[in-house]
Amino acid sequence: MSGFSQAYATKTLEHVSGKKELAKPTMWLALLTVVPTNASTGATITEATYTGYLRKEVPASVLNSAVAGTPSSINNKEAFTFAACTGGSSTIIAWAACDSSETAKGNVIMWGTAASTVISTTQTPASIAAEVLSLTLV
Amino acid sequence: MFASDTERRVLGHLPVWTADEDAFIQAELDGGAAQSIRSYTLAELTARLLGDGSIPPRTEEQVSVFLEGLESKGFAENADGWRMTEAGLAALSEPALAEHEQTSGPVQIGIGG
Repeated sequence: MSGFSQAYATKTLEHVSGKKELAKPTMWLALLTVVPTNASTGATITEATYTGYLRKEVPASVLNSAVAGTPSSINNKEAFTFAACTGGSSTIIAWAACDSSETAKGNVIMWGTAASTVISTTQTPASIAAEVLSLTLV
Repeated sequence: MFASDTERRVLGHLPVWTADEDAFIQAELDGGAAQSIRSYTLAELTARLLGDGSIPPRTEEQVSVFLEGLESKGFAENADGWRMTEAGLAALSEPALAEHEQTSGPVQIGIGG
């Protein structure tokens, strides 16, 4: 399960139709304990609360080129690791790619579900393996 | 707290509880959404859960059993549709595994589950 937010769906449609330029965003991956909706924003998603949690930058340089298919997709060619948990814990069930580095700020670009994963002072740091974060478009 | 991971995830798919409903809705409208989703019918939630690869496909009847269980725990309520309660949000924030059940060291997150 993954998809564009309504905010970025409209921006994308306006961009590809030549209606309005969409500035190239920097993606920051947020880890969530509640699954978002297409209406969610960076302020209304429910992010991990463990001590040390920060959104993780996903620069364009760690992404492969998009691949045509059904759906077409783009994924990460390198693994990336979140900051270590130094207190508390969170059970992650979803993710959101946001256009702001700050927790509770910005827009959601895309979102999706994740396998239930406990992040704690024992199970840390959390990482996402290469070619696992796949953003898709039908 | 949760009888199963599926029960946790069913709750996690419900619209999140917020102390300020009006501000939450306004934030989503200001963010570009046409409408803020604040509850689901049983049919809507069942359809949504079918998109979650970490939950085996469930019928409306089966999802209803999960919702009734969550309601009996005070984690969800049905008021013009199903939604999360404050206790439900707190439960999602509680540790899911005791320390002795955890594996020491790095943990990989499975995306798309």
